[in-house]
Amino acid sequence: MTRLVSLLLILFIPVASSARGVYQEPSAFINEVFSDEPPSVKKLWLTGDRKKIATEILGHRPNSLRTRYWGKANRTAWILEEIGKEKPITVGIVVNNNRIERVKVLIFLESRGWEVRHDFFTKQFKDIQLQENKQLNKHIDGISGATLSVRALKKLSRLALYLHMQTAFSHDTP
Amino acid sequence: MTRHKRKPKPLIKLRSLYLWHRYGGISAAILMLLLAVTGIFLNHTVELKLDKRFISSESLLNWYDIEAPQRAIGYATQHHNITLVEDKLYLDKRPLHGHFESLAGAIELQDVIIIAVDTQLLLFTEQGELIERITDIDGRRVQIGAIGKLDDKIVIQTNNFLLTDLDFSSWQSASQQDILMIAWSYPTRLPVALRHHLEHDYRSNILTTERIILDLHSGRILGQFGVYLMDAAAIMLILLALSGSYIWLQQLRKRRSHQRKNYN
Repeated sequence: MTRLVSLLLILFIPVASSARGVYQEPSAFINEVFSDEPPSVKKLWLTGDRKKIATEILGHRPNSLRTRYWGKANRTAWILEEIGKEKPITVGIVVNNNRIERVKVLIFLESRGWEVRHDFFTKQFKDIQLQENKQLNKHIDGISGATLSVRALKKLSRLALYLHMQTAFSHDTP
Repeated sequence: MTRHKRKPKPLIKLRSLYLWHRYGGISAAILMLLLAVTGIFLNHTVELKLDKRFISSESLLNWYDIEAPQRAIGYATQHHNITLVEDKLYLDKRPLHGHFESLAGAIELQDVIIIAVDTQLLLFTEQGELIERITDIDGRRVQIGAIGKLDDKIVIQTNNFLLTDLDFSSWQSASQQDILMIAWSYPTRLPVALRHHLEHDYRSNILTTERIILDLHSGRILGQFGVYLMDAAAIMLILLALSGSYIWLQQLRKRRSHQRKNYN
């Protein structure tokens, strides 16, 4: 019995302790996305219709009136936050030609649902687009026990796609 | 020769048991009602949002020994007071979202309120709407020691002194001459009325309705005595169930013997 408990502790303690925290600093993510030559930061105000649609997507008012992004050619990178259950999940999202190029969980502080940081999950978002009704055009398989984190990532992906369309980078190279 | 069957004597006198059952029932009824009502509420905690409703009654807060916060640090800008009460941040009387460990100062620049907390700068409108959170100070996450103004520039103290503008897109080190000219934000004494308001607001966000109902249900609202009282009520309920069944059985037996006599 003692052996079994020890084995379980050995197996699970590293998983539990490594599950929460900062996986990558947002600035490091932006540097990586733009091969260490990030463009200057830009800002997008979430007011008027934008605020209304962002509220529809998130299911609540956006946390702030202004969001930052980085853009080059038809590509934009966003650092967005959404509460999973109680604490914020910080996600880096890259949109290229109105399709998601990459989703990466950067900071995860919740005690559950950290499985969403794995590539097997985030890969599902690749090439996804936003439909007219502001929904994703592809189904995302959930993870049992991580429903709220999955929901948060889906919302942020929709928001990033919508916000990308609000920038000059969605049309042509500025 | 006929044999007379001797009537078995009841173990307990039925009349006295009946009286005991009646008075016991009445005395236990109030506690039973309390248990039942609080039990129903507890079954629907989520739907009724009992865990999100807070008690602000002074007498209840005092009963639970919920004290005024130990730590309250405040900074005043031209038009506003920014206060950190324990881990809660307030813009005047308005609580701001989030939990914070330290407040390094606050300034106002072109109708934007800039608050330095922990490793971030919070930008608010005059109406208290969050414009943006700046978590990246010159590409890093650093603890902010102080915030100040130099003309239309914002200055923060980390390991060194960094200058930026309201765009927050680039940071530069302040020169020795700049440092001498900075108008730093210093802690101020809170106005008494504001302090009282914030203390009450802080205390009013600790005790949930769910906690009160749980303690009413278990009796803990009266301390250990309440727990024993609820134990006594539970034991009383068990005894009432037993005595009620016993009375019912005795009466059933009586009724049957009457019926048998009438039939003969």
